[in-house]
Amino acid sequence: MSAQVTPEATRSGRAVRRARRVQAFKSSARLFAGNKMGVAGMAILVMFVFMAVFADALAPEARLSVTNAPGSPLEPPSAQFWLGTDELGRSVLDLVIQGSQISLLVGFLATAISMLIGALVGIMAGYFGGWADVILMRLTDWFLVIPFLPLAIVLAAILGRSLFVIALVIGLTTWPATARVVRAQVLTLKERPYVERARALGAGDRQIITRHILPNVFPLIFANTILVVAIAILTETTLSFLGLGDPFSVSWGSILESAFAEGAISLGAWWYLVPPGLCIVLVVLGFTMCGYAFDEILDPRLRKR
Amino acid sequence: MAEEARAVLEVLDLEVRFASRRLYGSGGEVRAVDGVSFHVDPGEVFCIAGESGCGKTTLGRALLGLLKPHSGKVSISGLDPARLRREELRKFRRQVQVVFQDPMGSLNPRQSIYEAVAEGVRIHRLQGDEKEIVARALARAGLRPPERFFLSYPHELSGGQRQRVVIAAAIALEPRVLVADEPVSMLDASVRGEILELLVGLKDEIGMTLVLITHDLAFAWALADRVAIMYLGKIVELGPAQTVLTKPLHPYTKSLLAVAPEVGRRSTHEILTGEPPDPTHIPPGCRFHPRCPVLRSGEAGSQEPRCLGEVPALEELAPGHQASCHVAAAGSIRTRGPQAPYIRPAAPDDEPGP
Repeated sequence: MSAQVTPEATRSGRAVRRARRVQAFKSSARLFAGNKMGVAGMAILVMFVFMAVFADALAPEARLSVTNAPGSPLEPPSAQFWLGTDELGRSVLDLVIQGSQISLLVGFLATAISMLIGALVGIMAGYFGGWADVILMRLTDWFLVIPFLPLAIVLAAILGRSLFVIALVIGLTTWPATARVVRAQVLTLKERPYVERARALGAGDRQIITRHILPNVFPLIFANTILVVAIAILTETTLSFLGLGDPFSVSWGSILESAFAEGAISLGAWWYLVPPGLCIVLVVLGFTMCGYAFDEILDPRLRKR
Repeated sequence: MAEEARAVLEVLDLEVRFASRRLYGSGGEVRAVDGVSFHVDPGEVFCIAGESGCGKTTLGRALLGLLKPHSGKVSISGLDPARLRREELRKFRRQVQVVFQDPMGSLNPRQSIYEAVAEGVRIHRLQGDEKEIVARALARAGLRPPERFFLSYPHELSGGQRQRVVIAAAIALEPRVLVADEPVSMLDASVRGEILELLVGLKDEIGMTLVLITHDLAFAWALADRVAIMYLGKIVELGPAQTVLTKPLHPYTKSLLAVAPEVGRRSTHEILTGEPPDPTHIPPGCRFHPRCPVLRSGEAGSQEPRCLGEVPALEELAPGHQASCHVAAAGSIRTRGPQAPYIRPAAPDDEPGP
């Protein structure tokens, strides 16, 4: 990248900033496009997101009615039902498509909660140090050692079984890892000479955190986010499988749960078990592949030359 | 008194301490800056020189208000950073800017050059068009045409260019005092001269005062109006650069000059050996006495007991020229004379006080 810039790109301070962002985005996009693993992961994710967004068009909810099921119970795959039917005669394909919505939604929501708390606690503890650090890190340790499943069961019992509770439980149990990683990075960042120079320029704590600390921990937070999404989706499956999910919505976890409850394994109804399981594996794989690709792009030291 | 009213920067009995932690048990305290007083006049190039670990960088950071002194006072245009509230501190910071040693580390790798220079302009809400101010500062710092650098990132520039960006960010605020802490020690020899020339040129252009912190007396000789020599947290000699570097009074200054071949005439001073003593265990009496060649050669004569037991004061021994040495003060110091063979005293650093 050279320092050559067209004159019109430098009209005003705002234009300069916009041009800089566009340039940075373009170069990142180019790097991502050159990363085969990242592109493959992204393709998988785009497919599933598409499926979730258009779920109602692809698999109208009317077809999932329990009382008015289109097929007979546990039909094997056929031209009419590509992936067979469940014990109530509903198309498994329709269930899987509808389930993608809930699974992804819970995954993203849980990740948002986890990242927000983790980044905030990590930055505050690392940057301010002293008592803030001691208190926040003990709190982190406390959350880190809480047994996850009992907490999920208790919270689900108290707050009721809903989508949001599931997301909250996952968010509350995954943030400590992020907080620790972010704190460690902030500890090294705040000793950099440019932070001291910013202080000498007159920057306050807020300015230093938003302008100097946050941009430099962002790659770490971002890479972590993608990996946490995968964990969150997997966790949602676990909770739904245990019957702690929202009973009124279909997710991949709840499909697996009913398949298990109906004895799909002993009945040999593989079409009931494999599709949701495969979807989970693919989505988690897609996120993980993207995560590694972003890791490589955002950390220049990992780039292959 | 008239002189003090004129001074742009005044330091009074400044002391900065750090707690030193040991692996086992509690450590002592390090007095990085131990009772330093001086003043700097407007438009002057004031040089603080000394070995690494003598406290010159700590002193610089205290001047900037980046660390809190244990006692004493810093005053820049009548403002003491340690006693200012937030908003006043921000105003203070506009008047005192800094150039650090490491030009790579001084720039945020995720900030473009434009952002790096504009940051201070935004913080202080300077009047006028931001882009114009940034462009002018970059041009003044020798990055021309400035637009060419707006979108560059620090890693695309050379060390000298990076240091120019740091300088541009500092002078964009038109400070009254610029503290340059070893501004060229991490640069190639070929660009050192350019950067120093730039700093001195900008000083005249903007009407700043330059405080140059360096370990290299050659720079002090080339640029400084006055020089302060530091040893273990104290100023041991202070005066006009010309006099201090050609007619040094303190044996420590003489030893430093002995290793700077270009400065002054051919040196007969003894080369200083040994490392600076541990700042957690400052020797009693004159803190330089365990390494003092004058004392070792017996030239100190009748002053010897004072050297070992009495802390020398920084006294004016010639007009405008201060030094803290009992022997020099007694006028018995000999600039030339037979040199005694060097014998290192047994464990001088651990000698208990009398």
